[in-house]
Amino acid sequence: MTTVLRALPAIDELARRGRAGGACYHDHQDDSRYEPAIEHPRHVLHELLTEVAGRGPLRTVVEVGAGRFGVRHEALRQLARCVVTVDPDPERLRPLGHEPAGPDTATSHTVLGHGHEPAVVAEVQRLAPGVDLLLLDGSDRYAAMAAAWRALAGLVRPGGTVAIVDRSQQWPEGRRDDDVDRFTFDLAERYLRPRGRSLRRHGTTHNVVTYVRTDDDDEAAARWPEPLPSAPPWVEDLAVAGFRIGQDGAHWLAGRGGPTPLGHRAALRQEAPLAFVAETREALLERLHGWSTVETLATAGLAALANAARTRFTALTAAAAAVPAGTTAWLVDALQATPRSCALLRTVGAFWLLQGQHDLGAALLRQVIDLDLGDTEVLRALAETETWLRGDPAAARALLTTVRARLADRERSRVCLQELRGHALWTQPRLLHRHDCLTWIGPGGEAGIAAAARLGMRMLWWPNDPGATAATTPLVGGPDQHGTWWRDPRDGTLAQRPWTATYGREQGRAQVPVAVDGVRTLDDLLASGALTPERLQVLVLDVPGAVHEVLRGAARALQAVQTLCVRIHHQAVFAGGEPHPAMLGWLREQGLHLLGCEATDDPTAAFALLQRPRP
Amino acid sequence: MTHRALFLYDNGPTLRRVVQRPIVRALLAQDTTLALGVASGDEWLFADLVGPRCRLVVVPLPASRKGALVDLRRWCPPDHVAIDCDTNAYADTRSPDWAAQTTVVARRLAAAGLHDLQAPAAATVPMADLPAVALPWTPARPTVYLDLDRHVDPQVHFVFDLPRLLAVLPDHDFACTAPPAMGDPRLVDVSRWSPLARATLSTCCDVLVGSCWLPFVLTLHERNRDRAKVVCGFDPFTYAALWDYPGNPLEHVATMDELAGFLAAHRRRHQTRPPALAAGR
Repeated sequence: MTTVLRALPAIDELARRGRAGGACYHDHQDDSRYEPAIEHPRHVLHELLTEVAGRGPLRTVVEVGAGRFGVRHEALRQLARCVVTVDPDPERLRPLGHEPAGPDTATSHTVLGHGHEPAVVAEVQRLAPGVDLLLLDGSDRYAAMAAAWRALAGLVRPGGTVAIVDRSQQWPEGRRDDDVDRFTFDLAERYLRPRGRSLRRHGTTHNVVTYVRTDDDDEAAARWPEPLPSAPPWVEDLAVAGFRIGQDGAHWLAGRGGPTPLGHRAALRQEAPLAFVAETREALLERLHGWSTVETLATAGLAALANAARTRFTALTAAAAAVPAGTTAWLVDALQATPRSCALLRTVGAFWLLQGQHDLGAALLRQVIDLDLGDTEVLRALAETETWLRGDPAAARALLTTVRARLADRERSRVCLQELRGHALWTQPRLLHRHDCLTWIGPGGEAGIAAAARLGMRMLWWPNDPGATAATTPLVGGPDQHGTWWRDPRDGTLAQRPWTATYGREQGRAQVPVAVDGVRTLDDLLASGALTPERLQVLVLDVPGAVHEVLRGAARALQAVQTLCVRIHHQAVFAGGEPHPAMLGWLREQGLHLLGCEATDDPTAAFALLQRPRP
Repeated sequence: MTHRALFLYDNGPTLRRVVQRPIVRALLAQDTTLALGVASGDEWLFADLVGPRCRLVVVPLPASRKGALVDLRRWCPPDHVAIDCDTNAYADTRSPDWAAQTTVVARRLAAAGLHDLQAPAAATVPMADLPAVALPWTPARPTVYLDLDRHVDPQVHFVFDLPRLLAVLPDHDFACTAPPAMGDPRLVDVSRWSPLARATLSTCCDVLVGSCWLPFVLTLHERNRDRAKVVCGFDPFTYAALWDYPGNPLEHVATMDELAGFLAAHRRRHQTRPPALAAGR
């Protein structure tokens, strides 16, 4: 368990850094607004690894399906001594195994092929004779997943874990009778239930189900499921206009720059930057040929707008008007299938501007900016569109102001992710957006100081460690006062400490922000002017054992708090694994609402994140 | 009170806007003129509410299942105040209930400085009440409204075992809102029906069985207020109850066993009802 607690922050860091455009975890709220480096929700992966690690040391892990960016392979290497990844796409296997591994990790292997192929099974058996965790994530289809399970589950040692990743219900557009959710249902009902066992599910729509293998299991001999059909799903692989095309079930697909073969769900997940889906091969080819024309015109039109070449743009409009009228219908189809594809939005938006549909074209280009703030060509083209084509220079100015603000927010998030990793604020960097001041009570303020310095925030820090010396660290955001407070270990009383900061504009004695006789509370500090309401926009409270006292003495101060991050101990304020209702009720009365709780390296404590709703 | 002109919009999934109909009705009861921004093809959402003080602004681009392809706010008429009805805008209003809807609108009105407008409020939680339309098929036997249609709904996971459902209620038909994975004459595929037809059908059914919230909002009709209904795989402990109201008969089940038990209990209740009650007298 200690190992997994140590590894989770490292896995968070891997997710944060990401790879090749992918970053962070899968986000339930808005799955298509970014490309996650680890294609699981954070809590799902953490729960899974904690569960597996709780069964004993994790020596060998086999994962079928590398995922889009291969970051999960590196994440598993933080825990296991040997990680074997099976995938049919050599491009996905190539980057694996280059990240530094965890302290006990030795080897990283890749096997090219599908999980159900005999040669693959033999190779996996050679590399990983006793598997502790088998993670099946190689397909969106019932038959392929079932075949991989039948072939590989027997390699898991008794007591080891079989885990199956099920995203079927995350992508209902691609639902088929042979979904993975149906496979896991059948696995539970037809295989495990007769053996007196069941599946455990982590997550909801996007989930991982697990079960523990026992001596009685014999997957290869099980009459269920039926063997994989012999016909491969991908029957054609032609290159047309830079796209590779093929067939997956009832759908004809074309993808550019994505995996080969491209599955239907993978196309909807935008694993290829540009993908088209059609019911027939002829319809698909027609679209691809039409796309060549549209793309050529749009690229030239966008460049003309971005460079304010109005004459050139006007010349292109004649060519755009000659494009067949039916083109619009399938462009709309494509937008509906992959509404967040920047490549598609960019081209269609510019094309519709050329066709004189200025409102729609500008709206689509605005979507591109929302998705990719770094696309300066689209930004310039959009500003020109608002100014020239739509005759609304105020809209162009508003656009640029908004983009500047969002770029600042993005930088803020980046700094938080870099400086506050491992801290609860790491998980929700947006909490610091548009705040100028941060007050930090408790240890760990060094990270806060670094973040505040880079963000230009003013910070106030009371470390609760009497020996803290970080107070000597200069602050870029402005000089500050420092004090100390601590609980005397001998008799448990709260004591004052001299304030010994050696820099700053102010000097004096420590002000102890707790509610004990003879000690000044946060409210007292506020009343005396030593603390101003604006300083309390973001308040971090990390005062083990004294959180109640501090909060009791801060009823008025809390009214100024916009974001509160407080470390709470399960025994003191948690009931049955949930935050203590009385405490949360009291905080809610102060206008603060719980956003969530984040685990810490101390299993008895968690950080609660609360925010005051914006009007 | 000053007359106000508001532009109500929401860039989220189309079906999410079904529950905004009570908001529209409540605002129309005040001194307001409303323009309702909708994507092309979504006019059915509010078409019956259009009148002298309420009109539709149709964006010439259809929505995807994830929501509008473009920001509807861009089509706000210049003399209107844009009000975004998206309940995901605030961390504390993501519950799919009436309180969240009214809270969001109240905050948006306040932010726009329209303090003289009252946030919609009602002693009784209102229903969406989509207008009735003619049905392509009318149930002749007791029918279960089986909402197999799925949506991007991260709180839900459920797999229906159709053979088991057929066995639990042998004298019922099942109106399936997505093509069923097996063929049976008692499984009636209504997946190609319009949302209004589905909503109307739900008022003719015996039991309403749902899983994902968004397609299930179609059943929020006054005639279904007290009807037996169950939602499968939605975690009511983590997320707020769906459109809760006093006396709501909605049950939550997590497994197929629980669903079978619920339906079996319903069948027993139905069979043991006195004939007069069973006949609706």
